[in-house]
This record gives sequence, structure tokens and C-alpha cells, in this order.
Amino acid sequence: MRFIIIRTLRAFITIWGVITLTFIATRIAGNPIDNFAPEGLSDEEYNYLMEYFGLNESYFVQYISYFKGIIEGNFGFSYFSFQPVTEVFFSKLPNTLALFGYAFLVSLIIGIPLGIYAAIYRNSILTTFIMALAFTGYAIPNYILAIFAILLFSFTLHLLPTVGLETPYHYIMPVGCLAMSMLAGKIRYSRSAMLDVLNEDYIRTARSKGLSERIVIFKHAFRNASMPIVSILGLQIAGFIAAVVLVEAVFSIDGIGNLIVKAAIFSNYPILQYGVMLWGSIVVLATLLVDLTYALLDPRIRVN
Amino acid sequence: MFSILNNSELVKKFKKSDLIIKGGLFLLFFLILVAIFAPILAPYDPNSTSLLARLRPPLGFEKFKVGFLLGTDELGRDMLSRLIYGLRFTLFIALVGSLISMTIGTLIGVISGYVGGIIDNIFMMLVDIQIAFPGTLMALLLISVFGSSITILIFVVGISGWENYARVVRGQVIQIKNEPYVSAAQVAGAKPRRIILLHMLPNIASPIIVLYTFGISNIILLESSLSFLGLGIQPPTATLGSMTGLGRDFLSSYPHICVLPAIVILSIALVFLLLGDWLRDSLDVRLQRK
Repeated sequence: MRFIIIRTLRAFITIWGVITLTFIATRIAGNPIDNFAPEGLSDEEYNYLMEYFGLNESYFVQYISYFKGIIEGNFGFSYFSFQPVTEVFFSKLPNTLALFGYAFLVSLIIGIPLGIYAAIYRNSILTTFIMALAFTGYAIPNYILAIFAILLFSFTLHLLPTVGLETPYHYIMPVGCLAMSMLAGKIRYSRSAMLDVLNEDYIRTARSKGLSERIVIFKHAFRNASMPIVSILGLQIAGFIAAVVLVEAVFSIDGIGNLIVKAAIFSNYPILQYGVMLWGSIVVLATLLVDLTYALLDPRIRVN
Repeated sequence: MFSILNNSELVKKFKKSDLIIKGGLFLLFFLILVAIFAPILAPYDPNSTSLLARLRPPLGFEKFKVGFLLGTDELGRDMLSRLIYGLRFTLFIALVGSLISMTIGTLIGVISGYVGGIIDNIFMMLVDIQIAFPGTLMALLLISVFGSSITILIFVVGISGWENYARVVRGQVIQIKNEPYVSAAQVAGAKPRRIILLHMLPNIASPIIVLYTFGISNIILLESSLSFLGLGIQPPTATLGSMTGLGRDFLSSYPHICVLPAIVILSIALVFLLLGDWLRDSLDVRLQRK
């Protein structure tokens, strides 16, 4: 119980730290308004904007009211469209979620069986090929992969469209590129998790009992290996913001990645702050969830 | 600390290593030389434009223009010269940025592991925050606030990734803190600074060097993706990422403008990954035995 409380407390302090650092970062270079306001504003308009976004208060007051807003569910307004940030985000969310979800699913369906295969048949030719695939997915940045894919499938073979997400065909390349970068980790983690388990005594026992190899692999080995695999997958979801941003940029997909990049280019801080906070919270909560699940299942962690 | 660099065992292992590793290391050596001697090697000024030689393809394609071995871009700038300077630039940022994150991370890791207690807790909390703050988002935020210049870019990539060093170094320091040679130094009255610098760091140098190599690869990718998104160094300065990003518009009819820098980014990041993998396997004797 003590472990759970301390761990949860730490998670919330981390989220607070992320929010605070983001706030400091956006204010440290002076008044945000000077970065985004067009030149030649009249004093009246300038003051109106200052007041509208609460920028005429002292930084401390701004910080307090920013926090109050977060607790109340008000995350500020976009400097450009004057819409609430949450609204802007949620309008872009479906595209990103679809892209991310499909890619995750594809990499899951392909990656885990390949990883298991590589663990069982350590010396087969296919395993060499699988590990090469894992290395490629890890080593080739996905935007470069995307460029090569566009060149091949769109401009040379004229098979697939390059921009947007209108039809199912539009999904193939972006999802493929994103899945490729997720695939590497899944293959490697599921392989190493399976390898660990396959060396255990109970596997040897199961085999010596005369059980068929299929039952040994799927009932005894995979069930035990799935726990570390699942936990790694949870953490992996959190690590893919960069990949999403780049894939959306290459394929001009109107999603959260592009929103954040545009916000960065035009100094639209409320959007950036919300993006960082959202992503940071996802990472922290995913880690927390994994830790707590582990603590629940493994008493040794609770004691330490 | 530097004894590790002229480690004769390492040389022996290199002689025994795969052809891929050897090829990779030679490619790395070659790329570094090209970057160093860029002003001598580049046939043209990377930013000089030519209206008459715009959008020329590389050697072997139709409309190739003699003198522009790898063709020219949309402003008639020589691709080869731009690639060479872009490589120089990218390598410079990666080496310096990696050095910064190594210094910060190692310092925090050593203090955290050696002192322990509340300081350790605070530093580890900072590490947690940094982990929750994805490098790309932090870079976007900082560039958005401070604008993009070389200094900012180096700073931004430099502070991403320090948490890896901090965690690993802290773990290593805690592990060797109670080794007899450390206790002996303490009993002999050595100051903490001396113990850390002379007794501890040489013993944990291997993982730091391996992390540094991987760090370079990560920073190359981070820097080039930022430039690709248009948030790196502003044009006309040639960087590999921005060449790829701007070349994307010409992908359908003049793919060389985009593909050539992409290939260079790919090979340089790959070479550092290979080097890191190889160093990890050959240096981390301690980790292997455990």
C-alpha cells in the first residue's frame, strides 16, 4: 500500500514538473504576444489581446490561473483561432488515432509472431531475415522510409496516393511507415521475452512430460512471456510521438502531429503546452500503470 | 579514462570482427574526413546559385551537366557541395550535442549515485520528468520560444538524452561504491572528487562511451527530423534534414534533390548505430559476465 501511494504521488509530481517546466519555457523569452502578434498592431488591439489571453498579469498570477484552469478543465485558448485548445485538439484527434491505432495493430499482428518465431528457431534463415527487418525498422528513420515509399509506390508504380487520408488506400503508406518503426521493438522484445522463458525449468519439465511442442510453446511459454511483452507495449505506445509527427508531416495528414508542428512554427504556445502536458501525462500514467500491475503481481517489488 | 581508447584488446577484436563492422567503421572514418576537409573537397560554394544549371540530375541521367557530379537543386546549387557541407554541419551538431548531454548526464548520475539520499531523489525525479517530456516535443517547444539558430539547436539536442547517461551512470556508481578499491581510497583520505575522477570514472567509462555512440546516432536523427520539419537552421544553410524536407516538393520530377541527402542521413546514423552495437559487445565485458 505504501508503495502504491508513493509511486502515485511521484507520478503526479512528475506531471506537475512537466507542466511547470513547459510554463517556464514559454514565458522565459519574454511576452509570448510579441512572438505571434502581427506587426503594426495598434496599442488598443495589443492591449486587447494581452487582456484576452491573461498576459497582462504577473507571471506568478498567470501560473496560478493556468493551474486553476487545468484543474477546472480549461486549458487555455489558441492564440490564432481563439478556440479552446481542447476543441482544436479533439478535432484533429480522429486522424491521428486512426493512423496510430492501425499502425499499432499491424505491428502487433506481425511483430509478435515474428518475435516468437525468432526465439524458437534461433538459427533458421528466416530468423536472420526477421532480425534484419527489426534492425532496419529501428535504424531507418520513418520519414526517410516514407519518402522512399512515396517515390516507389506513388511516383514510380503509380499505385498509391501521397497526401491526406480520404480513402482506405490513403492509409496504406502512412500506416505502413509508422508500423515499420514500431515493428522493430515488438520483434526484439517478444523474442527476448520468449528466450528468457524458454530457458526456464518448467519448460524443460513440460517437454519431458512428453507434451507436444505446440502446447509447450503456446500454453506454457507464451503465457508466461506475455506479461513482460504487454508491459513493454504499454511503455512503447508512449514513445511514438516523434514518429507520428514526422509521418503526418510527410503525408500532410491533418492530425495532432501537424497541429503541434504548426503551433511550434507560429509560437502558438497554448497548443504546445497542452500537447506536451497531454503526452507527458500519457507517458507517466502508462509507466505508473505498468509499475502498479507489476507490484500487484510480484510481491518482491512491493516490499522494496 | 583514455586507456580505453588505445585498448589493445579492442584492436584485436576489430581484426576479428565482421565485414559489416569493418566496412561500417571505414565508412565512418571516410565521412568524418569528408566533413573535416569540406572546404577543400567541395567543388563549389554550397550556397552559390546558378540560373543556367537548375534542377540538373546526377551523372548517368539525361540532361546531366558536366561539373555537377550529383546534379543541382532548384536554385542551381551544386548537390555534392551541399551534401558535403550538410554532413559537416550535422556531424558537428551531433558530436557537440552528444558531448553536452554526456557531460550533464554523467555529472548528475555520479552525484546522484555517490551522494545518495535526498539529492539522489531530487535528481531521479528530474530524470522522471525528462522521460515524460519527449525529446521531439521539448525541442519543438524550445525552438518555438527561442527561434532557431545553431546555438539553440545544439543546446536543444544537447539536453535531450542526458537522462540515459544519468540513469546508467548512477546505477554503475552505486554498484562500485562499495568495491574494495573505493573503500581503500576513502580510508586513505582521498577527497570525493579524486575518488570519482580517478577511481570511479575509469571503471564506468565503457557504458558511457557506448551511450555516447548511440547518442550521436539519436541526435543525428533528431536534428535532421527537426530540420526536415522546417524548425532547424533556416535556409540557405545546407543541412541534410532541411535538404530532404525542402526537396520533398520536387520528389515527383527531381527525386535526387530529396533522396541524396536522405541517403546520407541514413548511412551516417546507421554507421553510428553499428559502431555502438559493436562497442557494446566488445567493451561491456563487465555486463556480459554478470
